[in-house]
Amino acid sequence: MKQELTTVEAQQLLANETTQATDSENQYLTFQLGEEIYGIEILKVQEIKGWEGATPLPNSPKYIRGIMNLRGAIVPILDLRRRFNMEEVAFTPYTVVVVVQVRGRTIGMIVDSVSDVVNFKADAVRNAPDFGTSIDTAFIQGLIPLEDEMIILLNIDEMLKHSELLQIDELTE
Amino acid sequence: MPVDMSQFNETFLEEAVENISDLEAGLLELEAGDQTDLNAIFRAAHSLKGGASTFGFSDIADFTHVLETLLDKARDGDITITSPIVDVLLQSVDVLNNLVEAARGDAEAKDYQPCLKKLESFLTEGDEQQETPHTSQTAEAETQAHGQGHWHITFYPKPHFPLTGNDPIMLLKELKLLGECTIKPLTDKLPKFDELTPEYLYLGFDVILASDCSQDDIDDVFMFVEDDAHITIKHEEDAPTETAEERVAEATSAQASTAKEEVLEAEPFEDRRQGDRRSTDRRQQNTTAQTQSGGSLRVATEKVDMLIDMVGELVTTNAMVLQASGSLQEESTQKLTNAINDMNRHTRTLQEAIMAIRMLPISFAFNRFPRMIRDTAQKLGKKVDLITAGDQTELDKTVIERISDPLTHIVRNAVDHGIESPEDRRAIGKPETATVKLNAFYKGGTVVIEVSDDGRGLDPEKLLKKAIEKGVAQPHENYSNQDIYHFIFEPGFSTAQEVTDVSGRGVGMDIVMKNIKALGGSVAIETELGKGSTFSISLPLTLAIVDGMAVRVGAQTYIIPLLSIIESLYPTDEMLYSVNKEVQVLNIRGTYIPLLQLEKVFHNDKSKSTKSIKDGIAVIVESEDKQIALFVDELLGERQVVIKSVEKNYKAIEGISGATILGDGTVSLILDLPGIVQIANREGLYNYMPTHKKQTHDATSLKG
Amino acid sequence: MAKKILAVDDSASIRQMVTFTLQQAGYEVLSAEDGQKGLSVAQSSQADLVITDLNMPNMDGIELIRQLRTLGNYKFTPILMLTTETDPTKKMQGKEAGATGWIVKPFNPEQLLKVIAKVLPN
Repeated sequence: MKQELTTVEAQQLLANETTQATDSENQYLTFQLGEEIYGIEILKVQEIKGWEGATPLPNSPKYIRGIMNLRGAIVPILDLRRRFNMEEVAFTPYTVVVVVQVRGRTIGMIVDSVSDVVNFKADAVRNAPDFGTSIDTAFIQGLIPLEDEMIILLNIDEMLKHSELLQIDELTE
Repeated sequence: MPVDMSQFNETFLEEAVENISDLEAGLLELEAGDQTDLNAIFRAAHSLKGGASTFGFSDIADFTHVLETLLDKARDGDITITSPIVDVLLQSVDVLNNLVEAARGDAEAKDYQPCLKKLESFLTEGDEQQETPHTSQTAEAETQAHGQGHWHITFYPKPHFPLTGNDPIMLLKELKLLGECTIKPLTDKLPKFDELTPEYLYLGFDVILASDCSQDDIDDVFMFVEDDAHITIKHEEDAPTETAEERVAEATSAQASTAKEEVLEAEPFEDRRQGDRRSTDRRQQNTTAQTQSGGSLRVATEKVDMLIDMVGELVTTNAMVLQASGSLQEESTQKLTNAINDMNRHTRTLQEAIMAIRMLPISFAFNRFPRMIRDTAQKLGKKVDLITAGDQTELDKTVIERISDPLTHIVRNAVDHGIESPEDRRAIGKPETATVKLNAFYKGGTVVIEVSDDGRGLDPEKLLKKAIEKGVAQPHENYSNQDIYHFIFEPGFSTAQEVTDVSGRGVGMDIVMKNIKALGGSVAIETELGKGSTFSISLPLTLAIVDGMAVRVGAQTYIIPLLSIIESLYPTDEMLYSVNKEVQVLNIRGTYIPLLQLEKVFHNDKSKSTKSIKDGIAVIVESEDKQIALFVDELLGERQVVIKSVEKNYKAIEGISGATILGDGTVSLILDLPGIVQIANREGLYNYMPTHKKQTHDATSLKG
Repeated sequence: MAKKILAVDDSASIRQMVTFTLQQAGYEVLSAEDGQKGLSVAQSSQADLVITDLNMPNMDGIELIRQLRTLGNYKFTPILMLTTETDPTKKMQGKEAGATGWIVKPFNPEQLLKVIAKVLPN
């Protein structure tokens, strides 16, 4: 199921698929980071942008690439590879920024490429065992088996909290 | 502080136009034979008259008075509105519009006498009397002033008295203001316990008032309760002998004679009005001078904020177009270039105009101080006069809102800590009454608000001692007086030792500083021991845009606020000293200034300078009386930038106050100099500084 | 705590002047543009004093005073009415409805504060 979409294809995908969710199913946007496939709830995804660089911020963690201009708004960019301590690779034409809306904040995340939009029933989601993925299990909401692959569902709120991207006062909610 | 009534002129005139148009619409409906609410028409005229007389537009008031009287009669059915009357009423509308325009200075005042005469012709003569005002009853009464003796007043409120909202205690207190009172309660009207109604009042009061005030002064006290109480007022020689009956009689006759005076005054009142009309021209000029031209409009803040946002985007887009057009060289594009330049100019003008909408006079923040200072001073047993200046200095509404609290704190602190007790002041030959002065003025692109007092001033020695005690300052350090004064803004400097009812428990001055900094402002302190202190708060005019210098450092473009820049220069070998491997300083005309590489402060490789120090530029900036030199590769030019919040989607970042979008769509950071100075401080850059001239030699020897 | 005054008048300029004057004198000011709105403001926030115009749309001042006096928490609250010399009968009606006193229009800020001082304990 490894599939790389161009930015334009990814944008079309997002525009076409978002309306088709049914009551019992949840929709996820899937994307690649190295050999792993990740999924995030599509309701949190605002848009997909091509990677055009960011302005670095002073005294910030390495995984904060900086800030970029999103139609006049200043949006911080999180490099997911760096966040998950994965080896760095050169950006490709498939490298995109997935812009998410979480608790009123707009945040961009750099991923290798966007793959697909998939629908799953809530009971398809398995709990994540403590196993050897690149990322902290706290950030994993669950796993979804798909053919011979596995989609790692990101608990995006949790990850952003631990990346200084959500405020302390929002932690208590 | 007297109220400047002219500030309401705009609102009144704007409202007048509305009222006149309501009046007109109502009259037109009436003429068309529709069922019209005469009440609404009357109200428009009534409201117009009330405002006009309150705000001193006497022509409008005089004219509307007659109009209102006519409409009142029509409303009561005393006059039937016929079509000739509607004609004249509509003419009146034109007259009123003209008077309002004239008051604005937009038109010549026309003669309204013909129209007024016609209106008056519809009114019957006898009714004029009813309009006679309750003019003052003073002239006659005051001649009865009593030199000797005292007033004897009995005051029996009727039982329902409390239910009128009146309070006998208030009245007695008011009497006490007239002179010395001896007050005895009268309990003879008190019913049996089981006949008591809890909400009723059954007490009476017998008052001996030693005062040479007039009967009128006393009548004034009871003005609202004449009908709700039995009151007798009697002037007595110092040995009171008269009976209550006589007092009643006297009081009644006094009231009767007052009533007579009111009627008699009717005629002089008419004369006075005639006189007023004759002086119309002169007054018209006064009114015109007082009124600013143009109308005003009330708009929801969100709408204005949206405009500001959009104009910010426009400025950015405009900059993009400008940049893109820079490469156009061809003659054929000359027209386009011209148009772009025009657009650029118009965009700037539009931006300024829109920013101006949010501007309010600082008087909105100053208003609370007369009362606050009075209360604070009273509580502390001090005497303080307040002087304000520059009340009309305008700044952004948000800045005003957010500076009010810090300002209050500084003012309260001045009264509490700055000003001595009256005894102390007398002892050192100062006037007992201290003065606190608030002054606002423009300075460059900022507004400065000064809070000055003529109190004891700050004592640097005492402050330093305390700062060291509190761990705010280090012993054996060399601090300038300015450094020491600023210790009062350090957290933990004020302590329980000086908890007072007024200033509270030491919290405050550090918060004050934090809030002022958050607004992009700063505070400077001038003080002289024994003479007083001045706190000068500098604030940006607005939070939305900043005038900045764009600079390139390595691969990055930064914006340095123009206000903090003192100068830019090419560092030469002679200026440069290395204190150690990390710290370099520039000797600029005898002052040593640390030279800062942004890459080190920001820990960001991308802002690593591409040039050697001798090829680059040092931008000397100042923040809170400290100077630093920022090393940059290139100056890209001055520009006005729209400030965007980084905090909104991320968090506040030390050293930058926000971001802006450049002409090419990329994001550039706006430097926050106080923040950078703080980082520099923390990294110990100032510790290595040669602070005195005599150390020059040491520094030179380190030259590397 | 600052005393709270409710000012009810349909004229924006008068409201503005009254509000400005009172705030400057250290009072907290609520305002409303007619009797109906005034009544609901009064119900949602206890004022220490009410100043009301008499001629207003929707609900006039007389009715406002009458209504306020029926509310338990405005039984004893001082209520001042703004009257003009042209309607002495209005003043009577106002008193009957339960007004504490009156301020004759036109008035200036000093007169306003003086009358308030008569009825509102500080």
